[in-house]
Amino acid sequence: MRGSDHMESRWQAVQNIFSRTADLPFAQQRAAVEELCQGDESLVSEVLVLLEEDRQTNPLLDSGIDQAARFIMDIGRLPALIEQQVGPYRLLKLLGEGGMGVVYLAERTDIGGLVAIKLLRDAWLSPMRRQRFRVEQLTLAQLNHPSIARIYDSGALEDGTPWFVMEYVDGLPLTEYWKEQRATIRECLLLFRRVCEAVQYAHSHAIIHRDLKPSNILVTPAGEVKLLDFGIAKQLTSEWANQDETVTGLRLMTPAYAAPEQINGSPVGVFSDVYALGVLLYELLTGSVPWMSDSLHAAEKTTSRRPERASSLVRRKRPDEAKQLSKLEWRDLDALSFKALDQDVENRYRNVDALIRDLNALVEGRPLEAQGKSLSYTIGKFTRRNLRAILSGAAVLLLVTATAIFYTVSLARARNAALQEAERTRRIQQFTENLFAGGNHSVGPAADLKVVDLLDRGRHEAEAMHNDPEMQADMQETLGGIYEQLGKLDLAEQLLSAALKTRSQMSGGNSRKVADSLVALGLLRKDEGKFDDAERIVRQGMEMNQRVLPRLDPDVARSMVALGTVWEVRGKYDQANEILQAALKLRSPYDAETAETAENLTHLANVQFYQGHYGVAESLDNRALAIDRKLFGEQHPDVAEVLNNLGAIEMNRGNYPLSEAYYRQALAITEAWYGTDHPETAANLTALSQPLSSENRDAEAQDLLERALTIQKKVNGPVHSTVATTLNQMGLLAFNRKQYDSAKNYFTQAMETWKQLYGDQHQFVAVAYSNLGSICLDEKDYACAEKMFREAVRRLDAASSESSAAAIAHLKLGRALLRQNRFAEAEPHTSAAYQYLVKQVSPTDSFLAASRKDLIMIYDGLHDSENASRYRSESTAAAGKTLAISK
Amino acid sequence: MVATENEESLDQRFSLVYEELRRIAAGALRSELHASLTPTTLVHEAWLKLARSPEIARTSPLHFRRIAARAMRQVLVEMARRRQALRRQDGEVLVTFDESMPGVSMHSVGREILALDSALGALSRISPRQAMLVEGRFFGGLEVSELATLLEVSEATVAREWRSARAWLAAEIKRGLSV
Repeated sequence: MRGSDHMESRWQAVQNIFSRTADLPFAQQRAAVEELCQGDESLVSEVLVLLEEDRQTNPLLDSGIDQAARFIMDIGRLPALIEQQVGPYRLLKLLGEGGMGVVYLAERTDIGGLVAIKLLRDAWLSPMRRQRFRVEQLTLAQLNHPSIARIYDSGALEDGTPWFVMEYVDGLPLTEYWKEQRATIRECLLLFRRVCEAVQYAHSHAIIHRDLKPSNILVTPAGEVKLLDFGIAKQLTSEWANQDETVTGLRLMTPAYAAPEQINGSPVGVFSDVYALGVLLYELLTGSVPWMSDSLHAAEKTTSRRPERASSLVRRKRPDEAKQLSKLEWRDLDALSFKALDQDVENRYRNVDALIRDLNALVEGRPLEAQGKSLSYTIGKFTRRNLRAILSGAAVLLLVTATAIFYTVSLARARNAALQEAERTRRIQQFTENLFAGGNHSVGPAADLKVVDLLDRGRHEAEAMHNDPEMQADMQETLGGIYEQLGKLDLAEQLLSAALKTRSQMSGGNSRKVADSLVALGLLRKDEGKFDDAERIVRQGMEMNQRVLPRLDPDVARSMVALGTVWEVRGKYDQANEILQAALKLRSPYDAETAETAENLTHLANVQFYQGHYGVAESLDNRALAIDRKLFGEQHPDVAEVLNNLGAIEMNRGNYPLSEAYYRQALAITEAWYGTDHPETAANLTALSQPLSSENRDAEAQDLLERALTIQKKVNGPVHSTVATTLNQMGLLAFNRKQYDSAKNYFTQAMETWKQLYGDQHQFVAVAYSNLGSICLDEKDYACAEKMFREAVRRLDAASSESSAAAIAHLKLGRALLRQNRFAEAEPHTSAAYQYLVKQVSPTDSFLAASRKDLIMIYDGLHDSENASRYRSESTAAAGKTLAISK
Repeated sequence: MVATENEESLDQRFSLVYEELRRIAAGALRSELHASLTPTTLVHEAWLKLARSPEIARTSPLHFRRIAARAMRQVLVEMARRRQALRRQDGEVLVTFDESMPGVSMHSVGREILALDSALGALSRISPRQAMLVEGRFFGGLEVSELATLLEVSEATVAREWRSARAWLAAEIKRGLSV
């Protein structure tokens, strides 16, 4: 058609010009467009509109559907119906909710009596649902059996919601009833037989239940069996035969009880109910379902691995009970249950009648039909779907304060993120439950050991998953991340490398998953101290994400944050700052209050902190804290981490009481969460010692540090960043008490450890030199002091343009030179320190005061009276303030 | 477009996938899986369920996802419409998520999806391939390399056409929302 041809060619023209101008700098675009459009004004404006949209982010289009859909898929609930009248029935209370409907207890207002009313929720959502509901209703209406819940009435609400009324059954689900009864196995079989008979009755009316499970089979206190929920029942007659061949509904079938042919979409028959009965029998006997997976993946059930025989399970779990049957009887019972459970329809009991016959034979001690066929089951490995790779955003924060005090937060946040991430998906939840038996709180010292055992099991499972490389890679990635959090870096390396290799092979090298793996591996390198590699690999992953993902996809920001943390740990604060800010800007509106945003904020706060921008750091930390509190409540390690950061800020500002308060708050949370003998607690103890030491409460501080050191050496080994931190801290304490030999010893140990960990040029080594220099200063060995501080200054200056540690080092170098009367050499250093401090700390800060004093002496020595008196008066003013405050 | 499929089998497969997605959505919304329910997981579930059914058996996962993308679009549009209707009907909106998210309201997302849907319709009349590209990428989460394979063009073409389609749609959506 000519019209649309015209539109098409017009669009081609617009696109063509757009493509050619989109990457030009903004200033040049308009001119370029006008030139290319050759006077066609409307064309120009069309292109300009496109260019404008190209520049901006569009929250919907750039986020991807998953995020936006979150809002749409949350649909309103049925209004509360309690106390409402539905026909002649008054609703009393909610009995339960199922996949399709809600069931209320109701009473008949005219003639009295209790009934159950079932309403179909969200009837509008699908005509299929309405149909299914009607099917149930009609089905029940046909059946009149003492073991099947009778239907009495039906109707619809004003808004069209259909309902029907059934016999109210006051009873327990089959398996629960049995658990309570715990009578003999024989009686169990008799109970089971009653269930079978009810099902058989339905079959004889050409109705297959198709959703038999314990919650659909109630047993009254009197021992009567009642079948419910013929919700997806299918009638066998031709009326229904051609409809809905594949109507099964993913969630309306309970996977553990669904026969393979139901999952496959193959024809379903009475034998499918037999299967469900088989599962029920197994569960009644042993207390668990035959395959632990609740996955619907039929293939899993048909590859090799039989379920454990009921007999052996019972012998293991309840040996006394097992004695009720003889060996032969058990053999028969095993045969019966396996025949009911057979994957292959051909081998299964053809109908419930046959099953009942064998049951009778068993109870009466006669030979079974089931025997005589070899039991060869192929049951699949259970695999876990939807395991998302967990990025280990390992955050090793080291805060270098003015007095060279350290606080180390080791990996806590990332581990918690890993656990949360895992919990988000239900499948993973089960996996995690297996691993971390007891839920997400079991991360204390004893639990850590269990975790390692369970992780090993997970690791071996992953190794065996050859059939499903994607799943295998996911699982390896997950486990690798967790191993990393636990400090088992070599295992983490193995797993993460394996995951990367598999994923690269699968996708041809460029995909979100490969990028994830790269980032994870890069962060591992960071943990190992291999910073060049870390930077390179994380960057690779980040760039891949930027190429293949929508702009606002959270993974893009996440990988940017990862790169930021690498720079952070290298001391490249300017770069870290830039990229962390950029990542923060990429958070779409849907993402504003997530744990990841909090993490982003925290990292940014740390970088700002290292650069001495305490105000900014504080407000960022407070934002992160608000999010963390909202997400996790007060007693959560992420909250503790931010509180610690705030404590460090106050520490640097010289507000010791406030700092102590923050640290104590954090310590309480940490101890409660991790226990008293845990590295996290140790780190927190170290942190708390700082303000105490600054307030001259040395004995308390020493005690805390010794506790911390013991824990850290025990758990992390003698060469570890945490140990170094604590040693340094103890050195400072000794220094404050003028125990110089002891202090020298501690500082040297700390330095050696850092050298081993991070290399000679790292800024922590600088801080150690600075500390040793301070000792020399106090001992009046100024040549030594000068030497030490030069070492410190050289390293610190190389790391960043501005940092508090550098300032202090310059100050002290200046002092060492000053004491040797080398005024001219001293001046640039002391002045630089002053310039920095005056901007960053409170006016009464002791270092600032010291820098002024030193400058006064320097200018006096240089006969520069103008500068000397300037600083004198500043000094006096500040001293006045100090007196005022301390009153 | 990939010319090897015939229209009838495409329609059949589409209905199958569409019904399946709705079923899953309906069922899953009330279960404890709710929190992790996303279109991606929905499509994955549907694939696992349908992969062995005769109609889908010879469809590659990639093609399945393309069909699923269209089906998902329809499912979401329906849901969005329903939400808008609910709003107007009851005055009070019966929704359960956190409304304190700044800058985004539940109402606006629904309207945006509807606006996107009609904008995509308009785009498909001008450039069917780009509409398919956007549908696959946005509703189906297909990556650039996968789209290139499906549409039988280079990755560079995909990237280029996405960029201009995105801009056009963004403008079109704004126009659609301002009426």
